[in-house]
Amino acid sequence: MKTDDKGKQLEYASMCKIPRKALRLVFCLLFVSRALFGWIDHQHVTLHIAWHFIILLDEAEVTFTVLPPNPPMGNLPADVVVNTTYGVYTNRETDDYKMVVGIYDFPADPALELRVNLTAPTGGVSLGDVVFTKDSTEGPPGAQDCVTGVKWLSQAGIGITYTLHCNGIPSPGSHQMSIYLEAVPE
Amino acid sequence: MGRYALRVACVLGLFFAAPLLFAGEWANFFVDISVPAMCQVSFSGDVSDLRLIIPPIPGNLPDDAVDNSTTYAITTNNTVPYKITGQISTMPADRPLELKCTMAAPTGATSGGQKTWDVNNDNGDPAGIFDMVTDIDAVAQSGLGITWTLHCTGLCQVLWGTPVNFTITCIPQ
Repeated sequence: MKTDDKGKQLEYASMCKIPRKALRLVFCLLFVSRALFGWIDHQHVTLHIAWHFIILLDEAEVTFTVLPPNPPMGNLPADVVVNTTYGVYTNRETDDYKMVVGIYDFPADPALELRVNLTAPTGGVSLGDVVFTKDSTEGPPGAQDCVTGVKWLSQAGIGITYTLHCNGIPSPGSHQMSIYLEAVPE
Repeated sequence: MGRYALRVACVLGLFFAAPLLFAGEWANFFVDISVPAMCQVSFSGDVSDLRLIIPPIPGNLPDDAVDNSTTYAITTNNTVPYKITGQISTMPADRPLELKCTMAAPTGATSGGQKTWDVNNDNGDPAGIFDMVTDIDAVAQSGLGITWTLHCTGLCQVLWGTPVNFTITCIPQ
């Protein structure tokens, strides 16, 4: 038994002589290279920035009250003017956008006229008063351009002027209408 | 007769014993144990979606995008302090962007805090290699936090899946 065991060991030792050296060399090279260049790992970080075009109206609701005209009689009621503001953020850098304003539920009174005037943000162009009457088409089909050339900005406190104008004698009553502002590509 | 038998026995004994003696010599097996200094670092995975998506309020800039989803592991047996350096491959050009990274320190080590790469601090700039963690002694620890932050210093253009490669290296300090 002993002889066999010794014989096996002898055989194993002689067989392993060269591979062991090679193995040692490989390990040495591996660790030397690691020592020289360090242990390294990589991580991939993928960046996303979404596109945004945000319009924020600072007043959710504005109220107009038509007052009776001052003497002498024969005059029409004076215009009712309400000033408020809006803000715009867009990280669209190349394409120009325009802002359109539209209306829903305009009162059926033919004597009433609503004028909307948006100040342009930096770089944009205001088209002045946009006029709505009872005959205006509601919703997006009736939307009118009010500001053009909007791109690449973040600005708040931009003026909006609403003017309720009477071109006749309005009937008594109260009405609620919706005005919307939308950005669309030019 | 007895003397002759003894001689024969001695000769035979030597004849058979010699291989055993040699075998004993040749059977010596040297086991060399070498444990070199090592510092192995590995990430738990990639950050697939560092997304700056929260709509900003007009007049402001977008809020930062933050990701804490990945960790790293470290195994060292060093007797001298090691450190982990970090470097990114590139940043999107001409954009007011900052990419920030904080790596938590393993026990006994010191985190370098939040490091920031901006558009000028890319792969070609040696200053873009930061010491993320220092004073690392022998330690084996995993689940160490990595915090990524994407920050806009101005109006940030749209980015759809721009890859950045972050490389960490563990080297003697």
